[in-house]
Amino acid sequence: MTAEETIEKRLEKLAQAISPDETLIENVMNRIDTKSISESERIEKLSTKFTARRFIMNRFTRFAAAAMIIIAVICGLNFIGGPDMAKVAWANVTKCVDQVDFVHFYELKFRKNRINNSLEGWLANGKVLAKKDDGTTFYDDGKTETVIDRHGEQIRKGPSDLGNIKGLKFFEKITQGLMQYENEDMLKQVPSHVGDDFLVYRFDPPERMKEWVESVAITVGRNSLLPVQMKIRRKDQADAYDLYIFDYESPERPAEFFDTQSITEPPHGKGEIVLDDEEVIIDISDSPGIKAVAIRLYSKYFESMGELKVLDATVITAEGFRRGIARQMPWQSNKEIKFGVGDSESWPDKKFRHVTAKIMLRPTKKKSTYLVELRCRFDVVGD
Amino acid sequence: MRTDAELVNAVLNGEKQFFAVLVKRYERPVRAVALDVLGDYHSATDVSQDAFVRAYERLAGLRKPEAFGPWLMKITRRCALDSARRRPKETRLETKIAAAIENPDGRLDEDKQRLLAAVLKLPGSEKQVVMLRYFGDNSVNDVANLLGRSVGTVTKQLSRAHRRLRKILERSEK
Repeated sequence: MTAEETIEKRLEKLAQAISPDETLIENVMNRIDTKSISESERIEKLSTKFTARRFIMNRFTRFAAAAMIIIAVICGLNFIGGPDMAKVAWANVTKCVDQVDFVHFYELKFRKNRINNSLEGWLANGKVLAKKDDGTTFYDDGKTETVIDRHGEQIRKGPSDLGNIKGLKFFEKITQGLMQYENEDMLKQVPSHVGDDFLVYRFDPPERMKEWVESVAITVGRNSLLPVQMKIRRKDQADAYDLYIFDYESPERPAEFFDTQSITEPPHGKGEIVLDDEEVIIDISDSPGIKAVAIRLYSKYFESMGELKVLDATVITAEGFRRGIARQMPWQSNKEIKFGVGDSESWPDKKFRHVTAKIMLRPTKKKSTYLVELRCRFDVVGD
Repeated sequence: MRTDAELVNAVLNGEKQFFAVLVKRYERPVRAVALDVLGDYHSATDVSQDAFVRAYERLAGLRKPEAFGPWLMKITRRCALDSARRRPKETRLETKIAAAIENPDGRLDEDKQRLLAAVLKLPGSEKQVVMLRYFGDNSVNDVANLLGRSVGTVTKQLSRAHRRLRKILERSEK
């Protein structure tokens, strides 16, 4: 394949490589023909059910429905429902949940009746992207979960809880395992309330959650049988509950929306350092307010832990003053540290400054010699 | 030429034979998606069959019949991932290695694999036009008819997709 070849040509060649399979249509149609009548009936029933679901999920009814929950909760109304829906076991909900391949969701943690923190997320094509209100972003592609902080720097990477590795489905993960379906009692449970638009299922917490969960209530659409809200009332804190809201109508996001936006920027400065040797001055570029950072790596004896390597970093400000010192243990490598730079009186505007730094220590082939990479930011507190 | 939405509605109304038209239309795009996950032609073909059957079974759950194509691709991807999970690790490794080598037995070479992966990274609407235009062997006019979009829109989407693909490939080839 030459570089000059156009994308069109390359696509044509790729399409040729995926040659048509003459037998596929025949095989698929044969398999469909052998589907039993009961399955066809099921399709018919589903068809009716999902027509209703389209109705319930349109924008106006959704808001009306949400308003209805609020009214019902505020007024303490009991839902009055038909006898059939009262027998719909939770297992039917899990079947509908299994079909969901897109959902926009919110997690709101209420403490003393105020939102303490919140998270907004999207699931599509088996990938999840969630953003916390502190700017942390979680990417989960079903294999790996990557966590990026609000400055765009990766702070964690590990196996995913979803799909391939631990085998959790999305709703199982987001509900912290509450909706793991193997629990027979849970699957048989019927709604505690049946309303015109919603069914409410109440569950006792599973054994492993009994210490901190008091009760779980899940509200599902009466026709769609999809969860629209879940409330986990906690007993480990007073007036505390976690509320999840599920929205299936938000427009789908493009594939690249779910691609991890990890650190791509180079470090602000780097250099080599030798253990128990002299201090090294590392020039810093592209980080306003900081000219250089002086690094020293030395051995120190601690009574409780024995001899350890300790790293001291001193900021040299743009004006040339040495201010602030951060001490970091090597096992904290690449962890964000924050330290003050002088006191407020040291600065003409009387405002306090601090530096947020990440210092990465990498071993080299030379004994006792390390490569230091620094990313740092100088902030005026109160700006 | 009937649109996807017309065909889906016909199947839902009991005219099962129209599902064959959808299978013919999406046969190669579906196999491309399965191939991207599995890296192996034979498994991809098996998974394609499963994906079409599963799509048929769940057709009534499709909220927007005009979105049949992207919906089918998601089902295919899920079927392929399920299949990959069920396969023993050694087989997967073997296939991956084999797929990475220029191989005359029907597996894609590295360049084509990269291009296919890039196509699958395109946003939904662009991916659909690329799939139908190249893998479905349709003219731009046919794609426009199938999707109920104007020829101008499809042309623009195609050229945007080409630009985007070029960028994705440049990044991956660096």
